[in-house]
Amino acid sequence: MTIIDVKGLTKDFGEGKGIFDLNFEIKQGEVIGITGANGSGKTTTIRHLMGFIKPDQGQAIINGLDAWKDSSELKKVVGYIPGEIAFPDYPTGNEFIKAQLELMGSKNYDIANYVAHKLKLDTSANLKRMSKGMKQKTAIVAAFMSDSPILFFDEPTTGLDPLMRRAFLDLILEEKKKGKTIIMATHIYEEIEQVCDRYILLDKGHVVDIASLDEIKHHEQKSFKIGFASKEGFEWAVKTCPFVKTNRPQYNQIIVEMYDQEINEIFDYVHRFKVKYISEIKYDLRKHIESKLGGKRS
Amino acid sequence: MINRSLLKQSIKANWVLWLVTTLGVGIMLVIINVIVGKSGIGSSEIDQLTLAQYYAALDMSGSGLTVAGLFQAFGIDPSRLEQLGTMDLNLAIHDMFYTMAGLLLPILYVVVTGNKLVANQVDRGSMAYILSSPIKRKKVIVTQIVYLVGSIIGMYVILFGLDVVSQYIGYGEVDVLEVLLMNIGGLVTILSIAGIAFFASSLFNLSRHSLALGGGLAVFFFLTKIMGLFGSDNFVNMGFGVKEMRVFNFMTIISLFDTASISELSVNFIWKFGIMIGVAAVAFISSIFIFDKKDLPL
Repeated sequence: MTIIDVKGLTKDFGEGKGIFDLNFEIKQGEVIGITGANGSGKTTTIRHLMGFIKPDQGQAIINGLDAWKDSSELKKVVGYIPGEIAFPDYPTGNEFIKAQLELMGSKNYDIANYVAHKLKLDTSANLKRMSKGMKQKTAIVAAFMSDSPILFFDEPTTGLDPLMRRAFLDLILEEKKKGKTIIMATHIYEEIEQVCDRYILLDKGHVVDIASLDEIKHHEQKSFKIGFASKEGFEWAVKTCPFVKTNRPQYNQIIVEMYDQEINEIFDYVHRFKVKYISEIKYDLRKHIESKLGGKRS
Repeated sequence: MINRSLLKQSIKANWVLWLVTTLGVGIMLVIINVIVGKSGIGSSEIDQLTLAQYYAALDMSGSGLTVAGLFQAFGIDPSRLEQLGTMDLNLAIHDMFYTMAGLLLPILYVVVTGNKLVANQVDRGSMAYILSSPIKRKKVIVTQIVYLVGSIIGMYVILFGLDVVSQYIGYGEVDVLEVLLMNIGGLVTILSIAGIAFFASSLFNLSRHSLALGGGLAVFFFLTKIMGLFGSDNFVNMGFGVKEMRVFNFMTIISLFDTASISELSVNFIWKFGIMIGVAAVAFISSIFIFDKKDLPL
């Protein structure tokens, strides 16, 4: 079931800034990563979904409601981690959580306590003196605590150490199991690889690519690094092998690319000479994105 | 049309400044009424007997010298003499208090608080938490207006009470109607400035822009009021005013607080109050619509 439907969403801030004709659909229970360089439109997209910005054209429909017009109604089902963390004036994390729960119309502290425990956050700390990481954790607690079925996160792991980053991704996986729909803007590809079902690549406000992480992980094109023991082997392979993509004569090394079904053919070109090593170059999200952006630029 | 939890938040975040302001003005008021009142400057009567002796002495000399001539020689227009003699210093002090000294702290309060209630929270980003809850933007802004207007009314109710009691202590009698009207005048003046400051706060996303417009205008009004003082009848009569400085009185909204009209109980002050209430109403109501429709960088 489609829960988020973005249709022709456009906001022109001038000088090429903004987002232009975004189109994508997200199904209930999906975890989506939005990525792209600084200024590519990640935050602007999420602000539209939150109903903080009115689109010039197009619309975002969430749960059957218009993200701009029905913004307050939607907040009953949406949780949010803003890209920039600044809290209202409260002395401690606890006071903030209490007041925020009250605004959300809830009195249930269970999730807040659970998430704080998972992130090893002391919520009784002075809100203003909190470190960047602690503030980020407090913002994460606030987003999760009302148990909203839809979650929008803008750079949610900023300031978290690797261990806490892992704990946060585990929380996302737990939420995913509960069937929650999550959109997460991030420039950290590993986070997308670890928790997302699909990803959206933005470049200068345009959608460049939408793909499933499964497809990317099981990319049918493989590449290998092959190093020869001698110059002859290297030269012969470069001359005859059709799969050679690049070569590095100083290491007697070739890089070959082929589809899964061609993999046996490679041995015809390497078995005559002594091979020092063969190692696979993993096709990951980074390579995928580079190829998408590179392809567009050339 | 308001949200109680948010109102509670706004009270918690702003009551200290409110209290300091109310105390500051209250202390000034009590000092003026009790200490200055007890000193008995109010009864400045012309000593007719001594004056007659002076007249007689100068006339008898047969030199053609007169009392009026003496003052003329000092460069003081003799026609001012009588006004100077009958001038009620008490009235002048109270006038200065109600329309200047007593307004400064409340002006600072409404400028700072008006900015804190909206623009500052948008600028810092903490407004994201309020708008992540299912409260309509209109309700958010109306709640903030209710806090600001309510806190000003509360302040003036307290100041009115203090004024009545301390005038009674200082002078042994009190014209309650006049004190009431003077305090309503202060209230209405501050409400109109609060409206302008709040409008600026709802219009701009950056605190410094909001303060530049709201605070800038408030300071301008206050300064032109001081400049205009030097064109007022009292100052001109006393000899350290210039009639032409009166032009400043047409540049400040504080001039609509017509203390002379209140003292005489003429109707002029009523329509002037009306204009100030109108300014406040237009400013507050347009704030609601502007904030409801604008893009927020949250």
